[in-house]
Amino acid sequence: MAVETATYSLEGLQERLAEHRKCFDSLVELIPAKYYLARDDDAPTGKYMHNKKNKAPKQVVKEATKKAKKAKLDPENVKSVLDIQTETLATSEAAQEDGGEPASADDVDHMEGLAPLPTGSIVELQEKLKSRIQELRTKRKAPTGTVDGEAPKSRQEILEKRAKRKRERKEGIKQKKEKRRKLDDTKGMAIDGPSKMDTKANGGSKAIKEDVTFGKLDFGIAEVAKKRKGPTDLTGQLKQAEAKKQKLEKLKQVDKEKAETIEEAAVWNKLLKQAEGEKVKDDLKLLKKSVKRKEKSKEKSATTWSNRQAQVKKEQEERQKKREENLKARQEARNAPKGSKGKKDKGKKPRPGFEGGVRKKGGKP
Amino acid sequence: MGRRRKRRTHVKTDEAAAAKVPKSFVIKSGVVGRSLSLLVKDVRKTMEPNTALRLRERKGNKLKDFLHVAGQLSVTHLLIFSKTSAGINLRIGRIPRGPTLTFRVNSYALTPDVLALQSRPKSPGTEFNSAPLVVLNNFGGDAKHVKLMATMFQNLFPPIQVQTMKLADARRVILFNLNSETGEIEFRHYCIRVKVTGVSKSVKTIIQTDVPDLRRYDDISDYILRGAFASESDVEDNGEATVTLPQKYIGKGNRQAEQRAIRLVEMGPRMQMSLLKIQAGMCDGEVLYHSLVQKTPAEIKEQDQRRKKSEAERARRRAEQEKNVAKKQAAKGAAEGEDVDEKSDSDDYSLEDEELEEEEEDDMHEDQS
Repeated sequence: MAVETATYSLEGLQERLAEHRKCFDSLVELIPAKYYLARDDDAPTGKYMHNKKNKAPKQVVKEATKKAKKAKLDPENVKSVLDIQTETLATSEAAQEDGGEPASADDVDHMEGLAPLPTGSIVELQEKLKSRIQELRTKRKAPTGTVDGEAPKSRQEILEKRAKRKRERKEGIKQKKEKRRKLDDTKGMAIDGPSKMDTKANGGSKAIKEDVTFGKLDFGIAEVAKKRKGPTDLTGQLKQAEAKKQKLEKLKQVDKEKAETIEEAAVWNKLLKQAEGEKVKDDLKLLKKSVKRKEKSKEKSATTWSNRQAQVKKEQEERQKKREENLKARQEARNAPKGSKGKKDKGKKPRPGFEGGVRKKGGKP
Repeated sequence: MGRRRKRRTHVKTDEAAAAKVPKSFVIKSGVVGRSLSLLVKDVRKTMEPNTALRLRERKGNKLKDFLHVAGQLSVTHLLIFSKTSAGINLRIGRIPRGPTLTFRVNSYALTPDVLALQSRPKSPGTEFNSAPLVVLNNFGGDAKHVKLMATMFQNLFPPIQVQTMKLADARRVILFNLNSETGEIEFRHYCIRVKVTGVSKSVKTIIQTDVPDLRRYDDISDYILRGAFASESDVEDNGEATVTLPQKYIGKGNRQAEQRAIRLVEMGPRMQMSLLKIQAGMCDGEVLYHSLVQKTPAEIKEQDQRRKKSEAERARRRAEQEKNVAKKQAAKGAAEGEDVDEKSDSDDYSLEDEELEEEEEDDMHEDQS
């Protein structure tokens, strides 16, 4: 209890404070000045700078570093944190006395090492921040929220606005298209109205009729798709042509005029087809002729084929017969008594390399 | 390693497609004279490249000879020029079984004559390496003979292969213009040229030719700024004949998507002709249309009878011939080793046929006159 009362009593406060200060100072003294105080020139270390190399002559740089090292070792130059602080305090006091006014913002910045906490109220700071932001916005020409009423407050709002704008644009295009469609169907297309062109070009005179046709076009696909009508074989075509002729003749007996018109149309149709290069096979005479020719050729090929077959068979039989004969002869030769051949020369010594036969039986393969 | 194949330069010809291309013989028949022979040459030139440009005809060559050769060479059309006392005839026939259109050539101008009219005629280049485009004017009527003429003219030239054709292949135009009042057909042959438009004459010269003639000028600016305006034809058609080239074209600077004007320069020959008659066969057969002779039903009947009679006569002769041949064969069988000249028999046939044809032709001539 005594201690508590002692702490709160005003007596000996000065001493106590001095004692505390001494304690703190001793603690602070333990920390090297370079770690305790933030130095301005520390920030750009030059480690990552692009052109960090000193442009000064090498000799000068060397000497300077040597001096700096020596100075570092000098105990006079080693200043504790307290020494530095007292020094700066003294200089600032002297400046205050000279100017007679409180330190400006710049000074505060400069003295950050001394007073880490910035001065000024929170309102002031907020104001400062706001003004700085505004300045930067104007610099990058950021969109101000004055046009569409208020500036968008959230991301969601921005997205909504964008979607709305898109919708509006699409609708506008649609309306425009519809309008155009109502106005004129062919507007914007590459075709020019033939009727308009004609009346304009001819000046209303109908005497000159433009009627131009061009050569044939071959698309290359239609031909394949086109299927042939009617029979494709000659006999079938012949039958069809005959039937047609008979029908026409019958009609002739009943209604001659109609038959004639039909006949004429058929003739002209045939001519057109022929002019296009199509073969029209409706001539009875020619059809009969070609049918006959085909039959003849078939007949001929049939006879040659049967001849050939007979010939092959005959040859085969002959060969078979000959083979059998040969086999028979060999068999007979084998069955004949063995020594019959050599009997004649028995007693005579065979000449070497001539009448041998030893080799045949055995010896080398 | 496989063999190297030159696919770009050695393109194999598609035989099926080649068979479809119409080919033609342009010939003269009988004594026609020098001028008409030149016309035959000119017409052959227009029918290039699917024609026999240097076809040699002899006096002895008959129509039959050409027909025989045509089948072998897959020639599809025959254009025959002939001269009669009435005038010059041109027969255009489809091989082998017609139809045949006979035209009367009222007047004609040869290629040199046409070129002589031009102040600066161009000498032909590679125009004749590709087939011409066909333009038919006024052939859209309902009349059957007009329709047939149109199809005949269209099929005289190869069709435009839509998928494979290049713009640079379109070099010439052949125009058939039918005058519906007189029924006369004008035949014209043009060369397609593309020209720069919308610039002054001097700039055009610089664009189109390599070096302009600058002898009279101190500086190129003098040349360009002189009072040379766009050509008359440029102003006349006020840009209607201007096209954007869809592909590159022959000539300097005619690249794709370039603005150019199309000009047709006449090359000749010219012909004015009118349709005389249409025959069903190849230079024979029934006359289905005649511009001068209108036959009454009675006349037609009479002609029919005459034809029947001649046919009967022919059949009778044939039967007689066959009988003779049979007799000869029998004789040959009897007397062995004796050769019978069969060739002479066949000659007899052809001779008879020719005689008949000549008779028919005589009939036709009578019809015409």
